[in-house]
Amino acid sequence: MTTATIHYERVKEIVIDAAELSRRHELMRSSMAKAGVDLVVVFSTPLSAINVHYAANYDLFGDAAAVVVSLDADPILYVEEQDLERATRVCAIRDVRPCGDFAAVCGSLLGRDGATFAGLEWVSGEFSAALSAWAGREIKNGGAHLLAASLIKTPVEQELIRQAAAIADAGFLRGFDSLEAGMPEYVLAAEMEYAMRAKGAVDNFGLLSAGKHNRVIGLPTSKPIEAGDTLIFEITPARLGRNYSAQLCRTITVGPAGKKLKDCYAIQEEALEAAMALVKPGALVCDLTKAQDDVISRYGFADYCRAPYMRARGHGFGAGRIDLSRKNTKAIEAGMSFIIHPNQYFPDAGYLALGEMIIVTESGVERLCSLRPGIFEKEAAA
Amino acid sequence: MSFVRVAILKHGLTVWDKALVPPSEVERRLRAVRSLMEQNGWDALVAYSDQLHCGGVGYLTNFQSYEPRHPALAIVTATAVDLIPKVAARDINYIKLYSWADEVHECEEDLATSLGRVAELRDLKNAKVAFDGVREAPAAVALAMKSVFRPGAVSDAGDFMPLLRRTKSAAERTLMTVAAEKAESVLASLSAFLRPGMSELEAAAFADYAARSEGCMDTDVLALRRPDGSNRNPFPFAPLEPRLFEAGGVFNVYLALQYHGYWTEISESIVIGEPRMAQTDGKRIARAYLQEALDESLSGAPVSDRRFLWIHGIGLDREEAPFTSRSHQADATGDVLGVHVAVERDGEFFVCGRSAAVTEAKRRVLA
Repeated sequence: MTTATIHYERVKEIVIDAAELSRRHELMRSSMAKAGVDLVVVFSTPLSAINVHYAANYDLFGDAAAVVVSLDADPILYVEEQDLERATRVCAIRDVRPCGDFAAVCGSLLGRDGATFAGLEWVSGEFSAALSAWAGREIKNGGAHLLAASLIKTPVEQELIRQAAAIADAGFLRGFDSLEAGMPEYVLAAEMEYAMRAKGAVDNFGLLSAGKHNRVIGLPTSKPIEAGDTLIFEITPARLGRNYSAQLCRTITVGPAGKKLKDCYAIQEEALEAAMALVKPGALVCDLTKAQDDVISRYGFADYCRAPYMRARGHGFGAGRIDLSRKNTKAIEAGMSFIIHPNQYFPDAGYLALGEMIIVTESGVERLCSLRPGIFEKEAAA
Repeated sequence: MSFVRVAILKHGLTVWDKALVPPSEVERRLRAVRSLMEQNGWDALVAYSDQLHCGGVGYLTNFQSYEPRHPALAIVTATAVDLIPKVAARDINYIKLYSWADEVHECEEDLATSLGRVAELRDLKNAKVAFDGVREAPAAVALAMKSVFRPGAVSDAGDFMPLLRRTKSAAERTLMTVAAEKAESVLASLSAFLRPGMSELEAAAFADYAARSEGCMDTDVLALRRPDGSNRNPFPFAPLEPRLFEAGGVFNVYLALQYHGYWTEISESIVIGEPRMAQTDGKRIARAYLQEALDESLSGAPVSDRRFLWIHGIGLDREEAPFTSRSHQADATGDVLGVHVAVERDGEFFVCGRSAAVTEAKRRVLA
């Protein structure tokens, strides 16, 4: 029998009201007008629920949902008939309609000039063909307008991301407190997830690996955590949905951290701070990656600044996801939000995790994490 | 309508536990696939999976797409099984720990490029190929199939994989029984936990915790919505909301849990506080109706909705063949089903549901 271990106390509820949705739709319309587009069908399947969640605050339940955002009319949310009652209740869009055939409804809208479809890459080939057949033309991809709007977080979105970051901190501290040698990785993950759900997280992208020399960070397994292990975490609670996620990356040792591990972690800390120092509107995304690589390379680990020793130097979440890579020459703008994480493998210490979520402000950076950046050392006594 | 909700990160990727899925089980699956390939004149089978439909590739390789942006292809030939997960190169070595595929290939660019490399490696450029995933795969994957193989060489595998996966082996039934036992344990923990004044969301957080503490990976917690008994509304459960439980109220909960890749379901009416006589009766009747549904003849007659019955196949996917309620498919020996009933008693609804195996033409609860 499992019993509760957590005091249930959610963070303050934040309402996504009609005014907030209007702000987002206006951001989309601004992008649409510049491109000569007058209608975007924002479409979601369960794999891409973030699209409709952004445009309607509707948590998809079923096979599909769509939001029609046009320059000259109020938005419409289409949902499956059996979820109509709930959708009408939870969504601030006033015009919510049942839909029995999404290909027919969306395809008919897409038949006119200036109509586009956001979410094409997520739909099946069969659905895509049906859309084109109903539209009588090739479907134009309108994903850029959704991306343009969702890249810059509104004040309400920023507040939700701050909440998610605070929940991530709480999840990590719960993990640190409850960690015991002998505990399977999945039990530790359960404790952390429960702490975060009790505070209002709806889900979590959670990676956790324990070992004497981790090669990579992965999903929690039944492996028992042992004295001398290094534990690496990516904790990513989502507040109302994936769009309002905040990630925290940290490393715990069971017992004191060795010198080599501390030295490597100090390099990561320096790399993180080097990237943080560059964050301001106008800076290039690729420079944040380069700054981290440069620090790590300076210590002789240039060969490890690539796959399979690392994945990325940071990224955003959900709709408006931004990827920190050397190829991304986009300029940073105030209101963007992402994590910077120089997570990677070191031959002397294994894979180490360190990263923090930020919001870009007019003057620089708002760091969302309240935890100190260093290694967390847990007493090994079981 | 699908009732499958995609978690942000599916924790369904599990180390190959050879006690639960012995090498003989893997050999059996591949033998069956190759035998059917031979009967159909196919040189290779290409299976597509994403986080929503991951059973096919999971069955062949033990890899379950764990993130929406990470689809995968499995390629089975007479002599090899290849896996192409669309993940970062960093994660390939990690996935090799989980999969029993002969080779796990990088996919830094796109699935088409990697598929082309595998086709070359296995000398499949002129092969006859069956594609499992025609209905689910994005257009880009369908195009990849066309670009890699010669015109006319690719045919729709149709029901090939769903039918193969539908009949559960003894090893699969054993694993699913363990999963069902865990579901019973989570339900018992949840029943003991609930109090007046708690919200459905608090219940969901605890149920998720109880399931993960048992070693389950994915979980989903839903509640009964008022059934309307019409065919348009086949799935009677809906997402939880911040509603508070009142003393004497009924929480009609549905739990779906995944253990070592395999799903199990359970539904039950939990009375908050002391049950009234009518509620005790309601629970008893729901249980009796479930038994009746389990005892029903397997003649293939259309499923009656008079008791708001919901039956479907379950396994590596949360809903798979037979689609009993959705398509009036009859079940058969070897199936494992999720069977749920809901009944009304004095204006209150009561549910009861379990996972059941069909053996010797009888449905039996797994745990």
